[in-house]
This record gives sequence, C-alpha cells and structure tokens, in this order.
Amino acid sequence: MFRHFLALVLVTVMVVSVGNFAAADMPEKPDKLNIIALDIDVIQFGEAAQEFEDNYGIEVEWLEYPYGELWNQITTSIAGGATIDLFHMSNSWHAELAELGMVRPLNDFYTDEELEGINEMYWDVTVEFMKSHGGQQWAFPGTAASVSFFYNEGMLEELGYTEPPETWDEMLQISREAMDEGLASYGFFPGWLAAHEDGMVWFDIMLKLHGGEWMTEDRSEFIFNSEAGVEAVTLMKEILDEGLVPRAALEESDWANYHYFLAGDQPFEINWNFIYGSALDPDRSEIVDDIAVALMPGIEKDSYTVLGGGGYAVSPTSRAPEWAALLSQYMHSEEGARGVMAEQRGAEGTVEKLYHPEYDDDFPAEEYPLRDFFYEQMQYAGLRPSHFITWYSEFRDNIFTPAVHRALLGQQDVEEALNQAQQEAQRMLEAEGL
Amino acid sequence: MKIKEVSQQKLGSLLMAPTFLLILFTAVIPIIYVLYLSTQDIRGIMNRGFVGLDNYVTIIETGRLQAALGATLYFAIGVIVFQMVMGMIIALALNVDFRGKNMVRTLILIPWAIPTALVGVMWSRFLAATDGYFNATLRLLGLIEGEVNWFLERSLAIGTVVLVDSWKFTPITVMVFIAGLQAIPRDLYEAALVDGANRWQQFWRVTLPIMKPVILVALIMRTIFVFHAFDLIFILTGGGPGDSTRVLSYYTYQETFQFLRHGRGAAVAFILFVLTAAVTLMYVKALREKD
Repeated sequence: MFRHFLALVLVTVMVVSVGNFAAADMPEKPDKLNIIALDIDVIQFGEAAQEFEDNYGIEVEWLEYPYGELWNQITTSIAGGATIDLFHMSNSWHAELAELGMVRPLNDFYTDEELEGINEMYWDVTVEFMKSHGGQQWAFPGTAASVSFFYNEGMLEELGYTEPPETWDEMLQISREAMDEGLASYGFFPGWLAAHEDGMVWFDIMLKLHGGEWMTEDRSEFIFNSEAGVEAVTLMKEILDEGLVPRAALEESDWANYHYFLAGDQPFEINWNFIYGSALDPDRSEIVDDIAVALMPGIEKDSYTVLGGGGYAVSPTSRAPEWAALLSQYMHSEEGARGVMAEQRGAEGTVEKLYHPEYDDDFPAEEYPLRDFFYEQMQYAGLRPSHFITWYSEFRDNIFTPAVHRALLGQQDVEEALNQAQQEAQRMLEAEGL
Repeated sequence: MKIKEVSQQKLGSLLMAPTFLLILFTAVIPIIYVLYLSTQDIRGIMNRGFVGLDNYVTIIETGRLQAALGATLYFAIGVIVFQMVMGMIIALALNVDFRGKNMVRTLILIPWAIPTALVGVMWSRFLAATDGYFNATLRLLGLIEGEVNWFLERSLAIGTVVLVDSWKFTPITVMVFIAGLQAIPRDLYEAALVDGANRWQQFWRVTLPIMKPVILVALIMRTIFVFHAFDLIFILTGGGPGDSTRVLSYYTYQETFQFLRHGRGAAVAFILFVLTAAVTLMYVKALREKD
C-alpha cells in the first residue's frame, strides 16, 4: 500500500515537474501503448518516447509502416477494433478521419487553455492543419514536411549561372539550356499522378504560385477552375508537351522519381525534404557535392511551399486514451522536434523557437544545413484543402486528379476539364457539406 | 426395410451436414451480410442507418459502376480470349513427343508459381517508362526513341495488364488442356487419318469436340478468377489511367478501404457476386447440356 502511494506521489511529482504534461488525475496506467507509426518516426520521436517510457514505466510498442501503407493499416485496425493507442495521422487526413469517428479529439483530454498553452510553441500553420475540422484539435503537430526546390549547383555553374533561379521563367530557360547542352535529360521530374496525393500536392503548388485558391474564403464554393487554376494546368501541359518534364511524370510518384536528379542528369528537383539525405549519400547519389536548395521560384507569388507531415492522434480503440494523449504530448515536445530536425538536417521541426538565433549553437550549420533555409521557407507555407474536406479521398481520386490528367494528356481542354471537376465537386459539397 | 431407408436418409443428411454448414457459414451468411451492408450508410466506423437502394443508385448515377463494369468486361474478354487461344496453342505444341518435353512442361509453370504480387512488381519495373528494361531493350534495338509509357494511355494500359495477367496465368490453362489432350484416344486420330482428314480437320472434328468439357472447366475457372482480379491491377496501374483499369474488384476496394464507404463498397461487391454467379451458372448449364 505504501509502495503504491509512493509510486503515485512520484508520478504526480514527475507530471508536475514537466510543466504542461498531463493532469495528476490520470486513470490506471497501462502496461503498454501501441503506436502505428511511420517508419522514420521511430528514429525521429524515439528519444522523446523513451523519456515517456522512463518516466512512467509504460512500454511503447512501435508498429512501423512505410507511408504508402499507413492509411490502410490505420483504418482497418480501427474498423476492426484492434487496440491501437496512437497512430500517425498525416495532416492531409485529419478532417476525413475525424468526421468518420476514427480519431479522438485532444479536447477530450485537455482544456482549451491547456491546448492553447501547448500550441504556442508550434508554427501557427502546423496547428491550423490539425484543428481546422469541427472546431476541435485532433493532434499536436509533429512534423512540418515541406516541398523544397533543390538544384544541381555544379550543373548551373557549368551553364554560367552562379545563383539559383528566382522565377519559373528563369528555371524553365535554364532547363532548356541544360537539355540543349546535353547536360540533362529533363529540367525536372515532378509526380503528377492521378488518384494519388502527389497530384494534389503539385496542383496546390502551381495554383498558389499563380495566386489562386481551392475555395472561396467562406468555403461555400470551389474556385480551383479560376483563371489561376487554368493557367496552372496550362503551364503544366506546356512543359510536359515541350519535354521539359518526362511523360512518366504522370505515372511515377514523388517517392520514386528523383533518380534522374540524383544521377546528375537533371538541373532541378522539386520534392519533399527527405531526398536531401539521399542526395548526400555517395552510394545513391552522383551529386553529393552539387546539391543545393533555394526558395521555390515564383510566378505570380514570390514563392510558395505546401506543407505535409502530421502528428500522432489518439485512436478511438485505445484502452488508455489519456495516457496515449500524454505520450503524444511527449513525442511532440521540444525533444521530439529536435529528433525530427536531427533526421531532416534541420528542416521540418514544428517548434518554432528552435529556428531562432538564440538556438544557433544547438544546431551547427554543418549538421543542420537546411535549418536557416527552412525557417525562410516556412514564411511561404500553405495547405491543401485536405484539412477541411471530409470526403477528400473521393475528391482527389474520383473528381480532381482524373480531370487534371485528362487535361495533361490532351484528352480534354484544360478549362473544360477543370469546370467539369468543379461542377462535380460542387454537387458533392451540396450533398455532403464539408 | 422402411426403417433402413429412413436411417439411410438420416445418414445421408448427417454426412452432408458438415459440408452444408461449411457452405452456410463461409458463403451463404457472408453473402447475405454483404447484401445487408449494401443497404446501410456506413462511413468509417459510423453507421448512419438503413438507406434502402441508395448506395446502388449513387454508384449508378455517378457513372462509376458502368465504368467499372466496362473495364471488367474489357479486361475479362481480353484475358479469357488470349489465355484460351494461347493456352490451346501451347498445349497442342507440348502434346507432341520431343526431347526435353517434360522439362519444357515444368519450365512453363514457373510464371504461375511466382506470387502474383511479385509478378506485379517485377513487370512494373520491367515496363517502367524511364528506366525500365523493356524500353531500354527496344531503344537498343532501335525500335523506339525516348520512352513508351505502357500504363499511361487507356487502351495501352489495359492491353498491358491483360498481357501480364496472361503471362502469369496461361500456364495453368496449358496444364488443364494438356491433361485433356492426353485423354483423347489415339485411335480416333488414326481413324480420322484413314478417312483423309488433315491436321486442321483433325483438330476441328476430333480434338475440339472432345475437349469441349475441358475447355468449359478452364473457362469457368478463369472467368471467376478474372472477375476477381485485383492484385496485379493494384500494383501495375492502381485502377488508372483515369478509371480505365478500375475493374469491379478494385472499385470495391476503393470504396471500402480508400473512401471508407463500406455500404457502397458492399453494393459493388454484391453486384460483382451476382455477375460472377450469373456467368458461372451459364457455363454450368452449358456443361450439363453437353453431358
């Protein structure tokens, strides 16, 4: 009895000592918490989770999957009633999963004031991505993955350029020169896949660079078929037809299409930050000394990047949801953000202050070469409509990306394809709401 | 005497009971449950209740069911015609005596023995547009310049999937046909030869009529499998480009597991069941008439 009391006191002291972490009136401790995790997160959040294990004596079991398998693993596990405590929730899924009752809001475990206090440390845009559905918060932001503009510095120098392009016109001109000189097969290799998130990511970039939006501000009408949208797809089609990007862009994802860039056969690459690590690996890359990164070139807007990443959400099938929420708070603490930055060479951390000058000594430029760049890039970060459309998968796979594909393949006029998609999306909006 | 008959009936029922129960629990009840699910509005883990035939109406109104039916029939006809014809040609070729016949018969089974998922991955790499071995070989031979996107154009994509499926499954058709061919008595050919029939006439007048039941069995097997084909399409095309290879089984998966609309997924699955059952009954009827 005394030992139990002592343990309770110790736990309470520890909980209080870590500041915001959890209330003292926690239910009985589970022996173990199960996490369906993105494979790389085991490394990124491993230390933060270890700290939780050490403090509370609760084992954390990681069930690791590559990104492409996560959706099915999560949804089938929850639908099947498997005891999952936390799962990786890509920020492009939260509205859909929340609407379907497949995630528990953090508001069940924290007061508004507590959440507000914790949220203060994150980039605003990363918090917005996790709380834009139903006025509740569905996870803490854990990673701020973003699409970056990489270039082959050596190739550009060979062509006589000492600075990266600042506009798409400049970038396309350099691409033509690189191909004419026989230095490159293509300018860049995007992933314009249909029925796939890459197709959405890419259109989002092109739409926003052209100054467009997916919906009106009050979210009552889809406007991706505006002049900006038409110009975006028209530009994509033009550079596809010109051969500046390969037709294989329509069938290969961003996760599989960067080999030309790594082989030194392409001046530019617009992709997620993870490719930076691959480019520095001499076993996989011919451009170890030539890879460089810059802000996305502008069109109407000066620059733009689309955010990905996500956070760990509490499963409705958890038998210890309060403890699961507490573990997620540990994982998405400053310690967790440092773990992410260590793996992503300074990029993708969600805790904003770690990018401030007073932390420069903690993150030396040799080990964290993307840190300063990432801070600058985050000023241009935006979101896909996934964070508020609860039927986003259908919108993506059935309505939007097939229309863009038809336009890019020349099977349908660009404006006609986008108008058709807009009408279908609008019908769905009226039937289902957001 | 009467008592004995009754007990025989009971014994018969008793012996049939395990099979009956097995079919009841593994086929009949799941089918009824799928029918029930197809009348519910289920998204994720939330059941919003009975909606009658709304799920069927929705998939028809959006035109997606018709598109999936079209893709399924296109794929099924392509696969069945190709595999039946090629299967028969190869079986006839392997039914004659030559040195190494047994080895060739064994080797021909290799594609069938490879797991389907592996076949999908292997062919997707082989046919990859930019760095696939097939395009590289065609370039080396000077047959193409640049790249051919085997999965990008509608007709090319479905044709390519038909060919890959045939590479994998034709061997099993060949084996079924060889078994049938070997059961044909030699003296029938000798009699036909005496009557002056050439090889072609022997095939049409002797081989084909006797092989009809075997061909029907192979046809039933392949039709059922083809209507349920999923793994190769999942890996090779993901139902694309557009919806050109989104066959019914893939559409069921998409509604159920990607869009989490379990009611609609069940509606598509039930239609797939009805279609498969109808085709199977048609074949079985044809078989019985032949008997």
